Amino acid sequence: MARHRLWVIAWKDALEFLRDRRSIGLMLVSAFLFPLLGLLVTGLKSQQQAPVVVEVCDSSKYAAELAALLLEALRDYVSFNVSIVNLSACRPVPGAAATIAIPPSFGANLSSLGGTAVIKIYEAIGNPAAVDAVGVAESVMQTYSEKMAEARVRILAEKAGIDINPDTVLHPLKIVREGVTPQGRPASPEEAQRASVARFLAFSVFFVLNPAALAVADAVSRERESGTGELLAITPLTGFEFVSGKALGSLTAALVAGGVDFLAAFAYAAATGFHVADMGLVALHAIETVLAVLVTMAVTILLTLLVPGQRAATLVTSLITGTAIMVFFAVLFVDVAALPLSVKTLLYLVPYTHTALAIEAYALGNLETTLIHTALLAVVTIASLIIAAAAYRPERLVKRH
Amino acid sequence: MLVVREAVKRFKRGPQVGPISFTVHSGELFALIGPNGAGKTTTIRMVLGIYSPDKGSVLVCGVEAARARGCAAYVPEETAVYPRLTGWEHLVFFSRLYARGRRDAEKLAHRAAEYTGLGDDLRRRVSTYSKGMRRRLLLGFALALETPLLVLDEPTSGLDVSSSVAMRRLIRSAADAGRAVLMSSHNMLEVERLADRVAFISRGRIVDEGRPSELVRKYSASDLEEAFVRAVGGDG
Repeated sequence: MARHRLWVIAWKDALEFLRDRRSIGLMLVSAFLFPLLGLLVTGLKSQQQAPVVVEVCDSSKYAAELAALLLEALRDYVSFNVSIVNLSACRPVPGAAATIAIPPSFGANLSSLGGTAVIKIYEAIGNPAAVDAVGVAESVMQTYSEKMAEARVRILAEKAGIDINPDTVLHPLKIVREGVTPQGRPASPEEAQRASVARFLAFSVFFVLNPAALAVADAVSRERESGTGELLAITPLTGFEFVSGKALGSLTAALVAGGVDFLAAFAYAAATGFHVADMGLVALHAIETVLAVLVTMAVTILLTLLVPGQRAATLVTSLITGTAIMVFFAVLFVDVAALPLSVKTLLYLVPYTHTALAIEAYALGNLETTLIHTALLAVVTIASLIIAAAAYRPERLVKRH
Repeated sequence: MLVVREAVKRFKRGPQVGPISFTVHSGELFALIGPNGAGKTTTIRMVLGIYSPDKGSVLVCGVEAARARGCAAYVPEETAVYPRLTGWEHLVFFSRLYARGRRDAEKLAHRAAEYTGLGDDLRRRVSTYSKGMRRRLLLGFALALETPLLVLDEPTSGLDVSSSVAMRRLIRSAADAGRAVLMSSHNMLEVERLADRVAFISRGRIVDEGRPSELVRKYSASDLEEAFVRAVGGDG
């Protein structure tokens, strides 16, 4: 075996990839899709002017006070066009995202010790701005309700002649939440943030897998479709040289993908206010991305060699990236360690599980688990390359007639 | 140089090719003529060692085709190029795959560059080449390998008149230089003028074989095209 042929294939594929503006462009677009989506939604929300109406159908000072508080809170958001109208009878306003109605006798009920003051909210169904407006209004009213409850407690305490803290009456149960590490040690705010950043970093790996898998599937199937596969098939090239050369050549794609993903993760962190200052986490994320891309490439080469035609290769790629997205989602929302052994074993057979778990384990300070998952990922990558090399036959490089 | 004996290739889907037998000697230009789907490509792939025959044998340079790497050079259709590489990079790439060391590869690439006659155009990307230039690139490399057997698949298909003439001249000169040349074509008139011997192939079998003039005479035809139609009985 002449190892130099491996590098010749790698050199050619790398050169072709770097000159393929479309694939690189696709990678960039895919990686930045997530942060761009966030920016787009924020940008569009800042442009929307959803009408929100506060109807005051009560002449009490309480109604006027609450209306003023609602107006102030909703006007803090540029996306709402808020107006206050004074009416004798409240009803939903056509075209408004939300109508907050303060009905007659609101003040009387609120100021009495045993009455319940009702606020009616008319929310336009299927309107995302209505959901946001109602959320803001509810928060204002909750605060106002607590203030009124405190006043009632004070009046009652005065009448009973006892000195009491209204807060302890209103909140007899106090919940204290504290984050802890898997070892049971209290987690610092930085550690808590690192853990949540890790979850999103693990998911962000997915965004580069699809274009990378497409690039390598294309690199193999293009040889077959264009006829260059026939020329390669008659050279002294061995299966190991072909597969390793293709994988190494595609490593350029993997490195570009890793770099792009790295930038996209930072862009998203900047856009959402996350703080990604842990360079260790960022470096590990880059390593895991490269390994995930490599294993994807090895599996893609193997399957592309086995299936005929470009369409089948695209289908294979979709299958691989579909599996990747399922795993990344599952790991985001499920505690893998708490799953039954049979389900856990199945998940561990999928290489992407180790990508996500390695990043998560590192963020939680568990270096040993990080190394185990990274090593497993590397083993699967090498095994896939060996199996793909064994599957190589010259006739698999030619277009089937 | 090339001996195909009762070679058969079966496919899971599609008809089988063979049994097929023919011989190509050194210094001879042998053409396989037949319509699309007749079995020309499968036969060529057996000769190149890409497909192993299910029955019979294909010997190139006296050994089984699959083990005769480096004994045959191949010129496929013009799409078999890397459009994002320059012509020179294309030659260097294949030279490095064949040669043992970097120096040998460089020599091979330079020799191939001379054969192509593309000059400064070799610095341009292959995507900018015409069909004729792509063929010259592929043929130039195949000639530079100086293998005893040269295999060509539809070498002039889709070329303009002057490119076709140049290509035919290069192919003929390879045979005249002592190499065995096997080519496939469905351009009967070209084959009639170029080939020393031809084989009519239809539905996976060789229907007849001989010198073009002999076949024309045998079927009382005015040219090879007519002889082919009579030989295959309207099947082609």
